[in-house]
Amino acid sequence: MHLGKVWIRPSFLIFLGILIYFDSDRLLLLVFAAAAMHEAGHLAAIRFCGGDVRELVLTPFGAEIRLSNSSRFGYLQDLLVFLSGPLVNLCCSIVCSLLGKRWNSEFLFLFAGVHFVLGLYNLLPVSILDGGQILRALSFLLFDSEIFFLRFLHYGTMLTLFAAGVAGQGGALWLCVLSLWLLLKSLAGEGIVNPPRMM
Amino acid sequence: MCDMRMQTGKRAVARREFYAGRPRRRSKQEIDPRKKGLMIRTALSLFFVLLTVLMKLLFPSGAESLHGVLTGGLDYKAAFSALGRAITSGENLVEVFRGIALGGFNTEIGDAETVVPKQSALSATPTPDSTLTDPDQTVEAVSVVGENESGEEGGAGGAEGEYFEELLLRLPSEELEEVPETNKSTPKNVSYEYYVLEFETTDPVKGTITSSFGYRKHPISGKRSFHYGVDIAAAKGTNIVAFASGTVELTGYNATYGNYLFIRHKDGIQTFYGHCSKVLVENGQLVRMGEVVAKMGSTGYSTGSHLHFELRNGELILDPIDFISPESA
Repeated sequence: MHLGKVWIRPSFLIFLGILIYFDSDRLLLLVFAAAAMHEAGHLAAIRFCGGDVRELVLTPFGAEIRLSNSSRFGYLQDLLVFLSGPLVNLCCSIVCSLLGKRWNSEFLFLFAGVHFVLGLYNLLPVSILDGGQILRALSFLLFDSEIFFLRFLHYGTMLTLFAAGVAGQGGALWLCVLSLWLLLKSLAGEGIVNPPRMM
Repeated sequence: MCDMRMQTGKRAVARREFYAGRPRRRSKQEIDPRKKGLMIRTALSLFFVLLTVLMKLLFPSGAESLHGVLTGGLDYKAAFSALGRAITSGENLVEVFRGIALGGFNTEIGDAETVVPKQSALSATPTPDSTLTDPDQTVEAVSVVGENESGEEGGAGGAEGEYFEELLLRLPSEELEEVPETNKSTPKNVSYEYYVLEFETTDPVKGTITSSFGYRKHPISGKRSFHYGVDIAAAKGTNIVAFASGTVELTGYNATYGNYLFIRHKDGIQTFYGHCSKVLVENGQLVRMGEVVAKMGSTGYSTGSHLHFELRNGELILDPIDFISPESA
């Protein structure tokens, strides 16, 4: 389903339906608001670097920003673009937490927590998340190639998530699902935010 | 004539519409089958979203019980709030994370709350016991020590409730400071004196005491702090009953205590029940001793299913263990 430059995948709708059904705490809107601000951070950085967004694809577990081929990004721009999303989340979490303290607002604390978790999740050193891409760009900037350690971090993170999911009871099982999904996604070679590289 | 012309006009319009529609239909047939498949899938997915929304509206309880199974009772909302609070309050984030993670591993650890709202906020509340009809259950209470005037004022309006709510929310971050090991003195609003309650009471719940009244090492932060109640652990969903007859004074939710309620008993004695999975009574409702008022849970800043039970007399917070024996069969 296309809405302007936004392309909503059917799998996203299925995922949305499942989320709506299980969202007993009305957390979903907060998570979506935080995710929207995250993507807005990416988009602002892309705009700043002079990139041109072709489309924004909504998939389960994340949004992909696809750039048109005219955008020429170096690794420094990459770094900025990938950093901007999680940075927005972490800044928002601090601001919300401070405001929450000032106004005694439980809602703001909640929003701060959601921002924080979302920011941290995206900073996981997995190749398809912002964290992995940041490390990749850094690696190229510093060593001119992708160092092996990144692959180690990539699979190590997923293995750790899976192990934590197995070790935890009930509530932690979703970690297994998450790690498997990350694995499948990275094996498929798709990016959460994936501007084509021209260098 | 005029009518005839109108009819032909209408027909012409209809014909034009008919033919105008045909080419469009033809172009539809030429659509790439892959695109058509995608459209069908999108339509089905949209239908699925509508269905889940409908299911959610019609059978909300089903969703919640399934949700409980999937998340193992971990309250994500409270966890997020605790995190959000910890970001700027100087608490150790790693400790908070561990506390949340422990929720999945360990269900027998006690609670995490270290603070209680100040009693002064509760002073503007009615003494509803006088309206209870059964005299046996509302015998005059005599406090051996201390004075109690808090129960004598009337008029608990929404404003007082909000005021209290505000205090309850504000206090946790203010009083989380660690108390050094050398400090053995009790907080000034705490009393270890023995009181005689001259009305019938019962155990709010049967279970294992996982944390008692007094100084203890905080199960999440690891800091030494004063615990103002008794933690009684049992299975999630265990009935919590009223300690004595009285009136439900305040029910609500906050990040520290989760779903909680206050019951005001005779002579300014109050009981507090925290971390409930569900509160079954409403503000102002009269309850009898032993009446089920809530279900046990692990809502709020907690690492396992338990009841945080507090007993107060006016300004003072008492050790509830003098009045309950939850571990006896």
